[in-house]
Amino acid sequence: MTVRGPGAGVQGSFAVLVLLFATVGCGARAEVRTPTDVPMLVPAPPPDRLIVPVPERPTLPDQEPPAAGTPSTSTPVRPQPPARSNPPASTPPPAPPAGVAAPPAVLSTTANTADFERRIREQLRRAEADLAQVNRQVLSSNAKAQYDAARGFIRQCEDALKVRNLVFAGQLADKAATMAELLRR
Amino acid sequence: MIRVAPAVALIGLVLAAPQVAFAQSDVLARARAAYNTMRLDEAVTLATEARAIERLAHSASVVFARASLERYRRTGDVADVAMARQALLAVDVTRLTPRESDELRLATAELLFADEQFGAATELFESALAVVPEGDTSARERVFDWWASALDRHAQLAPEGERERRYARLLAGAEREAARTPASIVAVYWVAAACRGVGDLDRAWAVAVAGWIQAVRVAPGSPGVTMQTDLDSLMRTAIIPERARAAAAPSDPEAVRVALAAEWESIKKRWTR
Repeated sequence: MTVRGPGAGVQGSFAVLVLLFATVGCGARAEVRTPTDVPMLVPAPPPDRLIVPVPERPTLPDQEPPAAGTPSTSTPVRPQPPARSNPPASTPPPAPPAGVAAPPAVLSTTANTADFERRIREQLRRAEADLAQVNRQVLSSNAKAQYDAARGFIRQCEDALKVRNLVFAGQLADKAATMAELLRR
Repeated sequence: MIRVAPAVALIGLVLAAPQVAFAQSDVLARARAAYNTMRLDEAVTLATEARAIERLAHSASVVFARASLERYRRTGDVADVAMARQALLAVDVTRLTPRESDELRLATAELLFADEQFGAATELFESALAVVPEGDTSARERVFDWWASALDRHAQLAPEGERERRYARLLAGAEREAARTPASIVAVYWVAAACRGVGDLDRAWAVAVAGWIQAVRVAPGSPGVTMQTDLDSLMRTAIIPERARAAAAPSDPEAVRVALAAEWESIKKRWTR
């Protein structure tokens, strides 16, 4: 039988403590190292391109026509021939050449405004009808982007109509209708 | 002997602690790796697991949000967007490393894009672009592409006048990027698209031709090949019809359109390997 001295227990505890601190130290080192090992998130693949063709026949003029007397800076003005005092009675008035755009309408009268709004809503209805024929789930990634954009244009157009911004609403309705028609094809 | 037993058990526990910590961090690392290889369901599952661990919760929320957003882009399920938003709202930015903060910024920008908040998304992508690590050309090109896409959508939703201003900003940014990385066909695409946006159709044509020819030299399967398709689409859908329409008054726009389309086809034919 071995008789233990009074210092044996203290020495044992001391050894255990040393071992404990050493292992805690190792554990701490291991934990500090791990976060730097994780891979960085790569940026997601960018979205598909969205190319919106300019509508061939806009519902509304792009902007309010300039006030009388203000020269236009963007549209070339074709000089008008001088008015004849005695036009020949037998000559019918010349028809406007094909492809020449009608002069921009003025958004000033209540009748015009109501008519423009009606045309915009008609464009929107057409766009909605075209989109309703398209099944988004079966579209390609790029076509899905076009579909979502068309829906976005419709939403924005409705917002513009709420605040009576008819010119902007007309532009958005045209874009929506153009894209929806392309998707339907 | 009896007094030594608890000490041994304690040592065992302490020895096991780093292993547990490592296994926990490993969950997050695996979630990140799954995201990077677009195994999105797995990334979401692992990130959810990591979010339950207190010290990883904030980092894991960023991964969870990014993976959820990516899943939304594939499936269109808006529940993924809602989950991504909740995850991002739960993040305490002070608990992230600087690198994770950059990842959070990208996640937020992507979420704004999904929300169609294109203006705000543009701003965040721009700040994300500024901190892409130097030399990581692939990451830079992607973030730049996101920035340009966000600004493009932002411009397309703007009324006349404002739209041109936004495209002018896109043009300046794309030109900067093209000068910084001359081999970037993505930057060339956006220079062409922005030129079209500001109404400079002649330059848009020239840049698109140059970009298409540059893309011929890229390796098969690389993003340059996709860019060729994108440039072709930009040319046929927008630049050619709009150039034809803008032709001087005596010209017949349809004849101009046909001539331009033929010229474009001829260029592509001559520059195809």
